[in-house]
Amino acid sequence: MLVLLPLVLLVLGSLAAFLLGQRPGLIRRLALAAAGLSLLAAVAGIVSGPASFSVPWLPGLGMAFTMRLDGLSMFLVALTALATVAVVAFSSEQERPGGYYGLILLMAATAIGTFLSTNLLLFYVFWELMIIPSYVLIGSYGEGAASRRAALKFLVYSLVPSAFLLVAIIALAVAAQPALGHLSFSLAALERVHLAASTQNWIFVLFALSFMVKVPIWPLHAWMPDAYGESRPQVAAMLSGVLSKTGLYALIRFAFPLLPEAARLFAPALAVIALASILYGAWVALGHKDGRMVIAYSSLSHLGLVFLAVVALNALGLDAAVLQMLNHGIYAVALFLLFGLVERSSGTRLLERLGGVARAAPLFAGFFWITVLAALGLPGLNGFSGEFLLLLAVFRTNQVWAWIAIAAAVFSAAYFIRLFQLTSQGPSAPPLKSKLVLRPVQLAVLLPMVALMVYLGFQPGQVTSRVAPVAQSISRLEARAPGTSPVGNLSWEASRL
Amino acid sequence: MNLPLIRPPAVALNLITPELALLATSILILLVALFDRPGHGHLRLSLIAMAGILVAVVRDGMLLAGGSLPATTFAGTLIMDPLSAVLDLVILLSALVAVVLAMNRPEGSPDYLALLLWSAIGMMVLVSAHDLIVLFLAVEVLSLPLYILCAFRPDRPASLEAAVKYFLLGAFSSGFLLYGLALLFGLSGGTNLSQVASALAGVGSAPLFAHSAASAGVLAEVAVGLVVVGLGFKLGAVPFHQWVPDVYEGAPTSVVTFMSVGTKVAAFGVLARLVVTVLQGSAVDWQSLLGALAVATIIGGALLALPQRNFKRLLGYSGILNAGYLVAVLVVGTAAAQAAGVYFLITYALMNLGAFAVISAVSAGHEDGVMLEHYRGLFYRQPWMAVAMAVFLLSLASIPPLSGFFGKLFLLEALISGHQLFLALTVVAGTAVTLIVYGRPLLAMFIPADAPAAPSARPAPAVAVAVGVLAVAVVAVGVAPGLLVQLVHGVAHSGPLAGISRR
Repeated sequence: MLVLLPLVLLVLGSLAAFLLGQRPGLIRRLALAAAGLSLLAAVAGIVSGPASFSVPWLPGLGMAFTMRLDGLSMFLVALTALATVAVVAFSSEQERPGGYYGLILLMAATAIGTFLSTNLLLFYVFWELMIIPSYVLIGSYGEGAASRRAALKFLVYSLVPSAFLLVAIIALAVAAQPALGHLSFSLAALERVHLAASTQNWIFVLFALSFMVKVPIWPLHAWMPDAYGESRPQVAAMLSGVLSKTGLYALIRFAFPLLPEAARLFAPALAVIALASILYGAWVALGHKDGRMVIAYSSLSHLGLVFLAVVALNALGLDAAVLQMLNHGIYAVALFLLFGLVERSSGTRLLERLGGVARAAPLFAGFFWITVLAALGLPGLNGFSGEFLLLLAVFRTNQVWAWIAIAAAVFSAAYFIRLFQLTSQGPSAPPLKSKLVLRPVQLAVLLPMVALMVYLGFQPGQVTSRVAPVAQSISRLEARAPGTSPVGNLSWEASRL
Repeated sequence: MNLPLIRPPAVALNLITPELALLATSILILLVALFDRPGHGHLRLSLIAMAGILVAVVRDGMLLAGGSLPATTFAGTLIMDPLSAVLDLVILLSALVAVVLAMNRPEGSPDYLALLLWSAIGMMVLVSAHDLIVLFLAVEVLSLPLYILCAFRPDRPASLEAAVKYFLLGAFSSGFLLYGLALLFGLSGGTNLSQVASALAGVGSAPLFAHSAASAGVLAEVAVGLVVVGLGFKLGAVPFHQWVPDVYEGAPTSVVTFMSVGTKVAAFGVLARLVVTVLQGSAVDWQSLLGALAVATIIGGALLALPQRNFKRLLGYSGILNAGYLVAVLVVGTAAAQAAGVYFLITYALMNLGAFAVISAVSAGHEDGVMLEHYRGLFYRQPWMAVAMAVFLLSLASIPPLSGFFGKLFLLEALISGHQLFLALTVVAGTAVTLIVYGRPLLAMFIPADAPAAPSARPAPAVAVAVGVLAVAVVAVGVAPGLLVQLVHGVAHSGPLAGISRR
């Protein structure tokens, strides 16, 4: 039951928020309590170790409510809960608070659902559900018509690939049916089946497209600037800190173990895309005038590196990818939320019109500086430990990829320092509209997050040692020799029309 | 001289008690109305109609649960099997909702109720038809009252326009259908579907006119093509769909509610029966024909739905799109695929009826409040109606775990198992587009309106109850699909639907 607890708490909190809708203060405290309890439950899950939970839902269809908490999922669940606590602490929604906090909690709950599900259909249920709260939050809590356009763009980019994902999932189960003797969507059962390469290939393409849009990876990122730019900073923090991880996670959890040969076939092409993502994100971040977009494109670049390590297809790469997803989640949420405070107090996010925040709010600037340093990969903070292991994993597979990726790390330092300088140093360009103060509850959230950045910088083994067994078993599946004769020829040739 | 003894065919009236119940109710309504002052007592008549429909539902359920199905009656011209019994239930449900929506409305008169019930009888006979003549008669019985019903708001020119358009195109399509049926009769020398089937399969044929094997093949293709055109009109398949949006926009909402589900159910039922009994064993290339129709319908419906700003037209195009899904699943041709189609149709009925019920409630009184901008900020005026509409729209967009998702899931499973990958991808492509179509009104309902809209009238309690029941059903069938699977399991002999219900 501990497996389900973070999810259940968030769902209950969200329902309560929807129903009690009218009183902002009460709803906010309630949301904070739900997210906080959920974080406690997630941490308890990490401490107590791997566990799973399963009840049948539709046995004839091979659908079951199967959830598994293991090294791969436990940190991402905890990250989701932590991000939710932070986002709620940094929100002060007065207008329609019930909908706002309810949707934030629902977004987190569905993300946790995707991290935990080990039945493909159940995963798909959460994957689709996740889109709805994000869509409404972007479109209905942003500003004006631009936010509705951004929401529609997000919807198109999310739903079109995921509709095809459904075909891929069903085709996978139907193709595996002869070998299993029954229709099953269970990951454990499907992992045992070795599918024909021609079937694997097109299913893998649909899987990969759908998952890469969510991260996003260049060139599927066109929704990102609008969605991150037109929504609240808090919503952008959720999208970048949490939802982007679901795509990478699903690639590791489902696409690679289930379709190993296709993964090997497409890995070089995906690596090229990952490198393009790293360089493109860095390049745009370096020159962007809008501070929030600098953070957004830095995410594109950093998650591109994680994606590169994942497609390097070795155990270390998977292990490091989980570590860096956690790291990125922590610093990206902090960056979006902290910069969100700057935006609100100065009324602009154009870097050329910002400045001097450090003098006006030294405490705030301190937190911002540490977060920026963690994000640019200063040794001793968490960004470095993850980046180092990622590069090591890429290096083992292909040295050229690694050298190109290292070049991007230099960019990373440049654009993050530029972001900090233009925001915080120099004379205060326009006087701040409102005072930039950190409320006690925000301090209470920021302190542990900064502590975590330092802790994970020195002790990444706490994460990697827990992920290692899962990463190794996935990469073993990956390297499985195609000895058994493949089954389930569901290729285009067999299609009659 | 001994005249040959003419034996009347064995008639098992108990098999058509649902239809008889509706017939008796319609006559009762017309008789009772004679004693009412004009313009009064409509509520009582509506209650009578609802009671009659409920009797029919109970009888139909008893037939379905009784285990005596399948059975034929009227000398094999009518067949009652799980397929027709389940589809009958859906037709009755749509008639019930239409009666509820017409209560307290100008159109809720005795003639309206009687015509509605007669049209429903035609639909129920059509899904049971096992004979070419019965098939054609049933199509006419269902269509003629609908032509009149579309014109039931003579005060609105749009209503008359819709009726004329529907009538002209409908009469045209009846012609196609009749030509096709006549050719089939000519090829097989009989009107019973089993005779037609064996003639098309090339065994035991006694054609009315001499022909070579080659020309028979061509004639059979033409005949099937004409029948598909005729039924395609009723189904609203592209390129025979032009009447759909205009009729949906112009006709009274309650009539549209009924025909959007009922006509589709009837046309799907008869097409499914033709596929399984007649076309399956024939040399006719029906799979390419239906496949092409499905692809055209899905692509056309999806693209035409995108720019719609009128909610009723939008749902009209979404109905076209869903007809495309139904044709697609028929291409597989197995009983399991048919069951998947039936399941999909039931889920579609629930959410589509629900969406129309909300439209009816929101536009209460005036038929013109159906543009998407009227739904801006609906949540802050009528929160429960907005929530219910959100449930229906999300279900239509097949977002899990609502009932529409499982309908789509079974449909896709049937298509992929039947090696129709291209159709499966077309279906999801259509789904992907409609997500955007439904996404827009969904978001609009939850964004506060810029200017306070005119306070909308409270919906009639009966309509509110209907909306609530349908919304709960959409959620319940989604969370526990097993409920509905039990109902459909008789249609499928294998596949996941049969598999689930066996447990």
